[in-house]
Amino acid sequence: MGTRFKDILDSTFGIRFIFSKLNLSSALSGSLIKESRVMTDVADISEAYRELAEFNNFVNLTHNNSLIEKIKIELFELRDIRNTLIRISEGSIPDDIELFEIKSLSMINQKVKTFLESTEINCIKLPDLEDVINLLDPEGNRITSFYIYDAYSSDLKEIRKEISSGYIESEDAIYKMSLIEDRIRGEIYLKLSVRVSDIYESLINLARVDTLIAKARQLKDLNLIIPSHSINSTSYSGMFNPEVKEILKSDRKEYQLIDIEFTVSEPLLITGSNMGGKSLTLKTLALCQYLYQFGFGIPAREASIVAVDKIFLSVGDEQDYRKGLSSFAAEIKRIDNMLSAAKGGKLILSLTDEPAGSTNPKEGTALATALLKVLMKKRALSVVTTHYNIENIVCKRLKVVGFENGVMNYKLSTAIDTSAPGEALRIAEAMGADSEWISIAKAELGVNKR
Amino acid sequence: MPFIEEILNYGTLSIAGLEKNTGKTESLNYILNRLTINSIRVGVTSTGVDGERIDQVTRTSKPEIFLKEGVVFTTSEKHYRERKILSELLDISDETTSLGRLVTAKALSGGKVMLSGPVSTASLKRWIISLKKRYNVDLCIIDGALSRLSLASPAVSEAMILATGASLSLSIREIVNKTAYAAELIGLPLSQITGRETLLDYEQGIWTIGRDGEVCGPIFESAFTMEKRSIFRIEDGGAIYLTGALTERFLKMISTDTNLTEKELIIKDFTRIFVTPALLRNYLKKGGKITVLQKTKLIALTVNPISPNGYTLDSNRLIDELYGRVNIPVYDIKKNGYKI
Repeated sequence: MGTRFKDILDSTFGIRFIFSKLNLSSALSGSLIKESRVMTDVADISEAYRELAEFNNFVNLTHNNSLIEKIKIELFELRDIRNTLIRISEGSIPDDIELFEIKSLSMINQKVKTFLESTEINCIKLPDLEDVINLLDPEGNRITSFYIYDAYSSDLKEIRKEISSGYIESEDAIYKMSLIEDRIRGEIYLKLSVRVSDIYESLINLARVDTLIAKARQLKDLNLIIPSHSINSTSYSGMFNPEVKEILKSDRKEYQLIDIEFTVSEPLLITGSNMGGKSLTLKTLALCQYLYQFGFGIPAREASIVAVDKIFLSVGDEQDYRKGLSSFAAEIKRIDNMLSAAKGGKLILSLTDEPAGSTNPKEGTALATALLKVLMKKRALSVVTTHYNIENIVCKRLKVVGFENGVMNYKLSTAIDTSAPGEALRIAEAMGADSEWISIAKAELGVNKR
Repeated sequence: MPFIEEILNYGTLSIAGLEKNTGKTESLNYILNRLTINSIRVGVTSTGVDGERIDQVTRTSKPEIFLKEGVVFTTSEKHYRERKILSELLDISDETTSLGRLVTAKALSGGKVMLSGPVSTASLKRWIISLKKRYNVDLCIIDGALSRLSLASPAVSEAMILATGASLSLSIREIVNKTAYAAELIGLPLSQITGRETLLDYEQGIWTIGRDGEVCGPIFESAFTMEKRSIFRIEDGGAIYLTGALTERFLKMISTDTNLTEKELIIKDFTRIFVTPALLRNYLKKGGKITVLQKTKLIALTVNPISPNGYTLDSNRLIDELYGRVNIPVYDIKKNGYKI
């Protein structure tokens, strides 16, 4: 079974931000998104985006705004009654509260159904539940309220009249009334039980309408796009991290958009100075991949994405102290898991930040180089960042442009030389670190070179 | 017919007991029975989560509420299922309590039901608004709890009836003292500060308010974390706002500083005060000014002279002494033969 949305909700790449910005009307829709599993089949994914595109066309027409608000107001009343429906399908007779829930769902269904039929939307068809409403509204009031109405049977009406007039011993009458009510509930149950699957379908589809409206509106709100699908290479132009972009915006700063492309045939190696945004780029790539495989809008100007079986993100700041592993041991385990998935014939996306970056440079370089060589042999999408000089390997390389006139340029450009950038000292200096420390370090570097 | 007419002047009424077994439910039943349901629409709920038929602590019986036809009521799913009343279900809310979701229904015949409603002040406010807007209820009645365990403050109502009695103490003097103190707290004046509604939304900390109503701070996260002799200055005409409890420690600290004693001290409502009567009165005598953001009017006291263990006090003496102290109508609903 694949990853569920709720499993990744609190991951470091920040998918919770996207989820929290989703303006859902019903809590049910949120629960269903959280329970949903990642899609790995490109056919499913493209179907999901086809639906999203349909809703996007719908929400983008300004004359639809009031209709959308009307739909959202109806969906606001949508409750998660899956347990009620399961109980009924398993043979238990519903009580008044459960019948009320079904009645109000059916009334929402009919209203939203009428609204949707006046639009171009074809991907969601709601069932006709008029007969269910008739069953639960025998007096034809069409109000969302419920009790065992007098209209269900004449003997019920009689006995209630007697009770309220106070002519007969009330305890006995109340008992008789409850027997009649139970009988009526049983009759309602029999008629409802054949409609439960339609009612369930209505519930799920109403939540889908809610979700798709919210996702479509999010495209505009966060500047997201609907991506195209690819089988060999994933490429983004103008990719950004929505959460970081918003933080920068509140500081009146501009986010630098990233262009990046990598293929299944060779790993992509990103080099660049510290603070160059390499880890953020990897996290954003993970975010985009999950958004893609859960059918959300993608934060980029253009995107073409390969669907993968599994996504691996290894960023050094995730120390797994709960399992008693040091940062190095945790990293080795993560990479090992990734490699065994790649060797198991799965198409994976592996995003590895500075492999073996916390150990000594000699062994670290060896481990990083070897990792690239192993990945090279597999059909996998992989992006690796490093500080090390990885020379004797031919793969695609990008470099963070780095410090320019005292300002960090986070853009990626094609790297020509294979040597690692020596900007650590310049950055430390620019940060105003202790001058004695930096000047001795410079001298040390000079000694080594000689 | 005591105080019923007065009630009709208000849109919300809470009935609060100073202690368990002070006859709060009897008072509620009495009022519900006497309101002319035909002319006004009544909604009722309870903020207590303890809706058991038998009081779990004292094993005395806890009556259900009798509702007339037409009354709108809100209770938990559990108690709705156990109702002995013919009622039409109007709404199920998303808010849940330990007894399930909140259910709102209308009584279609007379009958009994156990009430257990909203458990927080915010949700109580939402309840009032929703009943008034959606079901055109004229009078919302809240069966409230005054214990510090209850998060839903009955101070959101416009008027209040306070139930007191022998379960507080077996000494009449003691009952009178405790009840008079509660009445004194309920009578604290409403703050005239600008932006009262926005202040209510603050949830934590101690804040200072400038002369023109600008809020600064929080100067402390809470009265529990502040330093013993913290220094803070407030301009003339400014005020101090406590979002949480007014504790002895805080009041002692500011009452020793004449510069601060002159400032208005604002709290959310009277239920936030946790200081002894002596300390509070001392502070007020010194010229201290304590105001509230939410004020309710105490319109009557009801007394239950029977203690949970069966001891009965002299009802007339209790009523006379209470009336002498608080100058608000006092009734013993059972004794005076008002049929329930």
